[in-house]
Amino acid sequence: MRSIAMIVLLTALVGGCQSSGGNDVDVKQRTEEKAVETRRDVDDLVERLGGTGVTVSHDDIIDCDPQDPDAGLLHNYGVRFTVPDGAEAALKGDVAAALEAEGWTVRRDPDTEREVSVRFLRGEASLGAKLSRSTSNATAGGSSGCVS
Amino acid sequence: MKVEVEHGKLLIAVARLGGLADEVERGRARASAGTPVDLPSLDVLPAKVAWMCAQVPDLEDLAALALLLDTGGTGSAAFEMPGDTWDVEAMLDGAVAARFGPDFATDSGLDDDQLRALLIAFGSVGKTLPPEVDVMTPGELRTLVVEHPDLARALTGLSPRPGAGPEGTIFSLLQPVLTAPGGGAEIHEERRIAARDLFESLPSDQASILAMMFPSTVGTLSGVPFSNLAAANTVRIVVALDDERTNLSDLEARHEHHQHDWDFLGRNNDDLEGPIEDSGRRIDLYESILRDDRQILFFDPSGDGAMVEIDRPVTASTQNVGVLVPGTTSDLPSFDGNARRSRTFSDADPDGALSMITWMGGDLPDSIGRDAPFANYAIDLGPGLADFSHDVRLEIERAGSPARTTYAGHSYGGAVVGRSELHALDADRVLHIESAGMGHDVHDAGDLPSSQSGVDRYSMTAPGDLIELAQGAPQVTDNIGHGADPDDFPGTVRLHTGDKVGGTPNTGVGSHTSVFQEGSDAWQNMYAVFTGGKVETYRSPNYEHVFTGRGVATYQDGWNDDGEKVDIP
Repeated sequence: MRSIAMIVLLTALVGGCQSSGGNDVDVKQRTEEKAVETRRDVDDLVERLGGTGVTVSHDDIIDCDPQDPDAGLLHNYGVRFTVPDGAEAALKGDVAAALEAEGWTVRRDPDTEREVSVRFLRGEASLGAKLSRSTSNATAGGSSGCVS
Repeated sequence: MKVEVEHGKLLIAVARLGGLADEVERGRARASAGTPVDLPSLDVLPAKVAWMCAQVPDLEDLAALALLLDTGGTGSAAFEMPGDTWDVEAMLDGAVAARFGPDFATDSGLDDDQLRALLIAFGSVGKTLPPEVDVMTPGELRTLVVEHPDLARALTGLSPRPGAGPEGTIFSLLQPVLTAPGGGAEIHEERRIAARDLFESLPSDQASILAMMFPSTVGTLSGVPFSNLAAANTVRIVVALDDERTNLSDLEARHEHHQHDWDFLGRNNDDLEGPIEDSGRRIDLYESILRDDRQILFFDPSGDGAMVEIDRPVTASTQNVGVLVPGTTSDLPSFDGNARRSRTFSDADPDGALSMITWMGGDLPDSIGRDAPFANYAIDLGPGLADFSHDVRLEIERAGSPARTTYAGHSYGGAVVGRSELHALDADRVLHIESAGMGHDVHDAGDLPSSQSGVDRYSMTAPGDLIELAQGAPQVTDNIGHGADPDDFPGTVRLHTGDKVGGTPNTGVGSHTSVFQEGSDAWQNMYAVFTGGKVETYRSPNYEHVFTGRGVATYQDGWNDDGEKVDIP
């Protein structure tokens, strides 16, 4: 028969496990809150580029490290769309300048024959667009950064 | 009495009888509705329509029987009637038992109509049917399989039999041979092409149905087109999902039972929590694959599991194919995380011209300290990855695509890629990401076979990643160590790992994983290799030394300007 002392001891020992579950819920909730911001930032970037025909390619909350489920969660969001003429200049010029003014650090990746790529970084969040140089196709994506 | 039956005519009869019954019924309804007076002469028609409909199952049974017996694809089948009358249903049962095993019909769990449709679809493979005949489509068969795990299980028990037709060809590809001028490797390559040719010779619907008919064989057969591999493995995943749900129920029941055990520290009350979580993650993975029709090219649920997935089909417009091999602790429960990691690259390509494959072709080390120093996992997996690379090349060539291939190994996955090069990995580019090494026994370029001389090599290792301790470490015995340091390997372009998204240098222990942070400099460099873009080469870390009251503190505050921009061929 279990003694009261033992039950008290066990309650104390497993107490941490219960609060750990609460943290998991908290991380998920905070990641979902970040997800709202990521989607808003990406959609806003697409709009600034005059993008149309937008389709979501991924919208996932995933483990920061697939091999370590305790490392936290992050949200990734990506879309495909088409851009009008002049989008490349806009991305590198006005759009980059406007986002920089809003506190984003601008990373202009080296141009290639195939595409133009610009990334925007702010805190743990990232945002980026890649425009095809042979078609009007484009992608934009963003990540919340790891929430743990 | 000997009877010869043409299945094409029977199936046309089925189609026309059904159409006639519909037409009569519609005409009767129109006539009745269009007149205010009774038309008693029409009252006999429903019974006649019912009689016509009643003939359909018998005709379908006879057609299915003829299709199953027409192994040569001549369009007809001859069989002996036991007397003046025949029991088609019994004859079909006998044919099904002979072809698929005595319990197949029962084990499949299908009703008579479903089974009849399935048998006609299976029997149609390799045959030309009249255009007006509707046979179950691959999509309908897939739905049937997903909704009937018992059917999936019955199918995984089927093996191709010898004979004429596509089934017989698959059987012949599996048979052992005594010798060949070029040895076993030559025969393997011939069979790879033969398997490809077989599936491409069939109409696409029939190829998919053939794949789902023999999922255990086709799902692991070299040379099979990727879409057909995926069709076969869908069936196997339905079975695995069913098994895993049973396993989870069992684990949960045992876990619940243990809650009433008495243990001073409560340890045995919780020791199933890990397995329960893993089982749940496997179920999530399988459900996602079936729900989203993900393309699984290889699958083995045993042990830690094995899985290979392509996230975008290779087509004529595909420009690049990337293969990402994950590292230590990768298993089926964590596969989705690795697959999503791959997908960040293909989703970013604006023209959708990059297909990414996540390759976990077998067992990887479970523990960094206990298992990862040993090379046997990479030694076992290397040949499989090399063999798979020839399937990738075939898929690209047959699609008429100019795609270039990149094989990237992360952490222990780098050692796997390295070992695969010893077995003639067919790669245009190789990328080592925080890699354990060039592969056991690969110490310099002379250790690689001549087949690898044209491979472009790239490597990245962030400063402070503990993997540096393993890179180039001396080999001990024939199973410890992973060969040369990829960053210093002759002909390798070392890449910049740069900053994390937050703008701080991607360094230290955490960099082993955070190089994959989407939008980071390292991720962008990987993307450039996968897509043939422009990379930034290695920049050495810049350290600041600060004198404090207790001594000198050193920290990295950025990077030196010693990198350059290089085009990837």
